Amino acid sequence: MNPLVSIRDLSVSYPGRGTASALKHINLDIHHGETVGLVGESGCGKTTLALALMGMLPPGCAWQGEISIAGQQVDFYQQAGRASARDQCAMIFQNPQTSLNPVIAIGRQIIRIIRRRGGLEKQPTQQRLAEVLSLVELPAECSKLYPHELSGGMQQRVLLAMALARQANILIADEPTTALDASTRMQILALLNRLQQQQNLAVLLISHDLSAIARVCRQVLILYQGRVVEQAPQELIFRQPRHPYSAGLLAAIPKIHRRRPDKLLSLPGDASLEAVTSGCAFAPRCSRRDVYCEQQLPPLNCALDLQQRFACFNPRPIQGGLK
Amino acid sequence: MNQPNNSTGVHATGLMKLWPSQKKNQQDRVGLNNLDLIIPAGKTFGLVGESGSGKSTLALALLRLIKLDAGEVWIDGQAIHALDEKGLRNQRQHMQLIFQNPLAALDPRHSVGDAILEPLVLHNVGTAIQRRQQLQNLFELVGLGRTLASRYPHQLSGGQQQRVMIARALASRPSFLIADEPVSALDAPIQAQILNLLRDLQTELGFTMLFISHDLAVIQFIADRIGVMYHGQLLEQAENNELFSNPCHPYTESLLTAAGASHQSAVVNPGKQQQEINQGPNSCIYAHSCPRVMQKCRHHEPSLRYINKSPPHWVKCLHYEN
Repeated sequence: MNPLVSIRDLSVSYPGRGTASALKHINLDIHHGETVGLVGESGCGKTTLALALMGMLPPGCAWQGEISIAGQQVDFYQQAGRASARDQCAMIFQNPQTSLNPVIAIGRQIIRIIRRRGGLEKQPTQQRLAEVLSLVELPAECSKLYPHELSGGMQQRVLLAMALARQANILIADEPTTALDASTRMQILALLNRLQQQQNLAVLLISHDLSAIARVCRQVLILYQGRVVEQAPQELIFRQPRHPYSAGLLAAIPKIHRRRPDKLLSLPGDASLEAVTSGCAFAPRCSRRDVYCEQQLPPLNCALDLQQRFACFNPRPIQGGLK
Repeated sequence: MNQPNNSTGVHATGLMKLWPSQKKNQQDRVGLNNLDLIIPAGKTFGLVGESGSGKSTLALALLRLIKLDAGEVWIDGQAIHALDEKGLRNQRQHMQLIFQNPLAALDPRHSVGDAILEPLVLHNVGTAIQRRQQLQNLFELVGLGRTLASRYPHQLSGGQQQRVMIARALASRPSFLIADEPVSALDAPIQAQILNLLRDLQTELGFTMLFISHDLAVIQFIADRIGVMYHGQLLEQAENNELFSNPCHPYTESLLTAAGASHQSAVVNPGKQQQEINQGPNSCIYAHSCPRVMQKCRHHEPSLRYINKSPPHWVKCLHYEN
C-alpha cells in the first residue's frame, strides 16, 4: 500500500539565520492509521517539519525535496495544490488559546469547518457538531461558550473536535500537552489514543516529552540539529537506544525514584549552541566520540534486524540499553 | 506561631486572598484560603499543584507583590506584612524570585550583564568596580562564560537565559529565593542541568528556597519538604521521602499515579479547578472529584491531622479523623 505521507530528502533552511539549516535530508513515510512520534530538543527542526507538511513554511525560507500526501505531490508555490494537501491534514498546536477565535463561540467555530466539508443544511450540521463534541467528550452545552471560558484541557479538546470535523486523515499534533497539567495531560493523551484507533487516524506527534510519545506512538524519530539520528519502533527506542543522544535524552527525563536522588543525569552542553561541524553534529557533546566522528558524517544505518536505524559510528551495544 | 520574630526561615500564617470576580453574578475566586507555611532556614520547600491552585499567588503573597486580605509573613524575623514602603524596598534584596519564562523577565534592550547588575545598582551595593568583580563571580557561579555578559537576552539559549535569571536573583545575596516553575519551559537535558545547579548553589550559599512546580519528579529531586496545594489550601505536607513512600491524601495519591505510571494508563480524577464548585460551605474542597469520597465529606470540613509528629507529616482529610 502506498504511504499516506511520503517525505523524500527534505531540506529546509531559513536564510538570514546563519548557515545552519533547519532540516537536512529527511526521509519519512506515514501510513494510514500509523502513529509517529518526533522527538528532539527545542530548535532541532521538529516544528519546521510539521509546517512543511502543512505547506505553512514561512515565506522566504528555502527548501528542497519532495512531499506527497495521499499520492499527490505538495507544491508549496501553488495555492490550489496546497489547499488540497491541507484537506488531508489537521494540525493542533501547543497553545490552543492562540488557535481559537476569542470572539466567536466554539460551536460556531466548529460549524464553520463542518460547512466547508459538508454543505450548508442546518440539521446535519448540528448533528455533526454534537457528534464531534461527544467524540472528544465535551458536553453539548460547551458549544455556546467562548474560548476563554474553557480550561486549557477543554480548549485542546475543542481543537481535536475541529480536526475531526475536517475529516482529516492525518493529525499533526505539535506539543499538544506541553502547556497542560499532569492529570489533564494524561486525559488528552488517552483521548488522542482513542480517537486515533476509532477513526484510524494517522498521527504525527511532536514533543520533547518522551513519556507522551511512549503513550501514543508506535514509531519514533529522534531529531538532532535537523537530522534524524535514530528511527525505530517505540519499544526498541525505550529499551535499547543505540544512538548516544537518544540514550542521553532518555536518561535526562525527570523520573520519580524510590528515594530522593542526589544528582540528575544530563547531557553536557546545549544543542542550540553547538557550532556546525563537518562531522557528526552531536560529537561535541558525545561521550563515545572518536577522531572519526568529528570528520565524517555518519549515515543513517540499519541495525541487523532492519527495524532500528541510527546515525552513529560508535553506537551503544545492544545489551547496555536502558530498561 | 510562637515568637516568629526570633526565628530564621520563612513563617506565614493565615494567608487569605480572594481574587474579585470580573462579572457581577460570579463569586470571587479563591486564591489563598487560610494557608500556613513554615520553611526552615536553608531548606527547600517544594510546592506542587495543578494550574489555578494558587501556587503563584502564594509566591507573590510571600514577597508582598500582591496585597493580602489577611495573614502574616515573617522572613528571618522580619515582619514583611508590617513593613512600610521604604522598609519593604530595603528588604527586597533579601528575597528574590525566578520566573518560568526568562525572556519575559529580562529587558530585551539591556545586555544580560547590565540586567544582572541592576539589583545591585538599585540597592546601592558596592562601588562600580566591586560590582564588576561581583558580576564575574556570579557568571562563574552559574556556569556561564564571561564573554556572554555583553550579549542580549535573545542571543542566548533558553538554558543560558535561565542561568542569567538565577545569577540576577542571587546577585544581592538573598536569604530567601522563590523559584516559580523555573525549568518547565526547558528541554529535559537542560532542565536537569539547571536543577543540579540550583541544588549545588543552595548547598554552597545556604539560602532558603520555595520551589514551585507541577512536575513531581522535579520536586522530588529539589525539595526537602513538600506541600500539595489544591484550591488555595495545602492538603498534605511531609518530608520528601515520606510523601512519596506514604502519600495519605487521595489527591496526592492521584497526582502520584498520574506522574509515576508513565507507561501504564493511569486512573486520573479530573480536577475541576476552573469550574465553579457548588458545594455547601462546610465541605472538603476536594470532595467533588475525590475517588474515596464519603457522605460526611460533603458536610464537614476536614481539619489538620498529624500522621507523624516528627518530622511532621500532616493531612487534611476526613479519612484520618476518628
